[in-house]
Amino acid sequence: MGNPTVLAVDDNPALLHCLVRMLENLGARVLSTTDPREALQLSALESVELLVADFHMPHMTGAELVRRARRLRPDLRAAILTGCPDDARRALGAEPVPVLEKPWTGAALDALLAPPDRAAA
Amino acid sequence: MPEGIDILADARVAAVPGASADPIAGALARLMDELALGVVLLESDGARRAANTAAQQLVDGPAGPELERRLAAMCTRATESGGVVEATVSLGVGGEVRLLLVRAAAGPEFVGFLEHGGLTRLRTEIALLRRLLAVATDALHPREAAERVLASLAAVLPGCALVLYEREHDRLACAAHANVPRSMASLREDRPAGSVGSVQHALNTRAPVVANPLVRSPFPPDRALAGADTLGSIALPVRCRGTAAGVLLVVGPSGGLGAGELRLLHGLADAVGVLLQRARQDEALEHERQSTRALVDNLPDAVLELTADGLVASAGGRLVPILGRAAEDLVGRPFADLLQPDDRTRFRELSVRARPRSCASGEFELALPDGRKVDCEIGVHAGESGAPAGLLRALVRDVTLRKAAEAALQRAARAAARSERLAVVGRLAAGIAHEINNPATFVKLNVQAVQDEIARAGATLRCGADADADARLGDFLKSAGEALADALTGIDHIIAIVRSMRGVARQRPDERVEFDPAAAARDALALFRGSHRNACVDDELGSLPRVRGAPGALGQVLLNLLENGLDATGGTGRLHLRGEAGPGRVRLCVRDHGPGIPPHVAQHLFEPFFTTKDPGKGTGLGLAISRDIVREMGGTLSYETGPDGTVFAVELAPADEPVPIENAPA
Repeated sequence: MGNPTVLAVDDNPALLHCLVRMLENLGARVLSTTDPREALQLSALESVELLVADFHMPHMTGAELVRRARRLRPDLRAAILTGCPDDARRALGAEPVPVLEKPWTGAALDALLAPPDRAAA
Repeated sequence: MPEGIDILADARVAAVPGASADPIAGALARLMDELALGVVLLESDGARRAANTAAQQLVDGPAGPELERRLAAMCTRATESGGVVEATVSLGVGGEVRLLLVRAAAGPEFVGFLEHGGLTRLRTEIALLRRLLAVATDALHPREAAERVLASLAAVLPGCALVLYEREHDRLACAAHANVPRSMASLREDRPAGSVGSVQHALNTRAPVVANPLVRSPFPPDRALAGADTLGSIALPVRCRGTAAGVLLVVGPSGGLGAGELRLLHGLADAVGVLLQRARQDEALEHERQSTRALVDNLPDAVLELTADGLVASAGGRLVPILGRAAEDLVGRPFADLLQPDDRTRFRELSVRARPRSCASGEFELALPDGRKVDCEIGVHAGESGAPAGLLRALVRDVTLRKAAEAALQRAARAAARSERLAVVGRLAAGIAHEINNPATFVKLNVQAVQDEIARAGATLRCGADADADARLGDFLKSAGEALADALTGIDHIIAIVRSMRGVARQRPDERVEFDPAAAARDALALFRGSHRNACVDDELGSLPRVRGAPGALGQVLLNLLENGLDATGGTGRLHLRGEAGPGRVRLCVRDHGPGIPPHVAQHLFEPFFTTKDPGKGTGLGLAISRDIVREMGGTLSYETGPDGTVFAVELAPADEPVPIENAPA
């Protein structure tokens, strides 16, 4: 599968920077933005395989972003990184999205990057 | 008076000094001397042979010569006529003396009777009235006194039946009676108002009603009344303050009651009226006193009257419950004895401020004989005008309950304020947690990144030629790595605190989903096992009925309890996470085998920010938050502790009470 393309979204630039660097260190090709509305547009790109988003953001929550992105790309893989996993899980409801609690670990990110067939196995 | 002659003849014998040595005659002579009636024994020529004391007094008196002259003349007339001779001698203002001369049955002598009507009667009446007055003013109950008056009168009028009727609301009640023979028993009965008869008539007209003239009977009462052909009666109204309070009925043989007796009866009726009035006043007073007493006894207070010297003069009301002493243990003793020594001056100051119509009050603690302490409010006011000088009335009210209620209210208010503070702290914590978690996250991630870089650099970086420089670089990288490791420890602590603060924010009263508590507990257990590799927890959860609430919050509570359990066993012990389902309840228990919770810790266990852990290890929010979370879900968090360990139990109600018959046979 090679290097997957990941879209990283967090309204906190420092955290976003940190996330991007970690993902890149893990070998991912990373697109990033602090604005979820811009992220929605980027997610429409065919090359984006994984959406990694913060939960609490201006304009829309991470859960909303995932749901709206999946209307365009139903197969889009996504994950939420948040300090409030409960809020995120509640907002996601039945939406199958893994929730990672901040601070996340490299191992958790690595697991996210694993190809879907292997993750499902 | 034909029957009287024989008696008088005996009297004649007795009246002759030395006529007989018979002891009966002597007794008769003494009796004669006590008679109010003057008796003389005269020779046929009128010469006085003997006289009793009453007669002697008259003869020795100023009218003596006239009396002797008249008696002599009467003797002459009697000798001539052979019958009874009567005469009257006027004594001017002293009244009159009625003279009666009869020939003795067995001899030539005459027996003369001198009846000093006015004075003698008057004296008798006065003596009787005096006696009546003495009875009436006695300490006796007035009604009883009225009965005695009647009895005294009955002794004077043995032939007459006497009944005193007293007017009550709708009837004339028989208040006293004397000499009433069986044949007249109906006289003793009460009479309904409006009944016909002399009694009712006398009451209505307030004037005496005479049916037939009365006569004094010489017969013994019963025989006299039973045998008399005609009975006379007089109904005398008993006046009391201008109204007729009752009627005195006198019934006797017809024939005319002496004027003196009639006067006596009138006087008596008035005396009885006074007595009845007093009786009624006394009864009204007693009634008032009793109702006051009943009122006082039913007061929630103890009521004490204190003399100017501070002694208890009287005591009523709730004495034993409040003061622990009965009235007899209080009266005559200083009131200050009831007070604590320190309070006595304060009470004196209170007493000084007391006025008849305004109450000075203060709160005091009373020490009861049984050692109890009672919080009391004591109100003191001075006696009304007319009360003895310096008299104080003290009302002692037990305010223990009120104080307890006030204290409970204060506690509730404090608890509410604390909950409010906790809620504020919770909201604050949620905000802070969010704001801190993000920077903490990137600080941690960046520090980790630098740490990784340094580790890599330490392994690969070489200055090349200068070995010394290489060594210095190695030292620098090593100490930098250590510093970063320390920094990471601090950051991890910040993150741990933030996480536990988020537990507060997690309390969402609106989150009420139905969930499997065993599953939530297993999630918590998995998390716990992940972070405590050396902990050994037995999963005894089994399957449990579903409950309603916040699954994440329940997991947080169980995590907390597991953490505490692990700490209690020094971080290495065995723990049990157990599930139990009973009727109407689901229990999740965390048991440890630690040394138990010492009492001084137990009393602060659920206080926020109380912790036994080393500074920096615990936030102290754990159990306080846990309990609030469980309460929010309608459950309880309790514990049992002992030397063999501690069990914390979360008890919740099943979301849907399972019906027992659904338990299908296996």
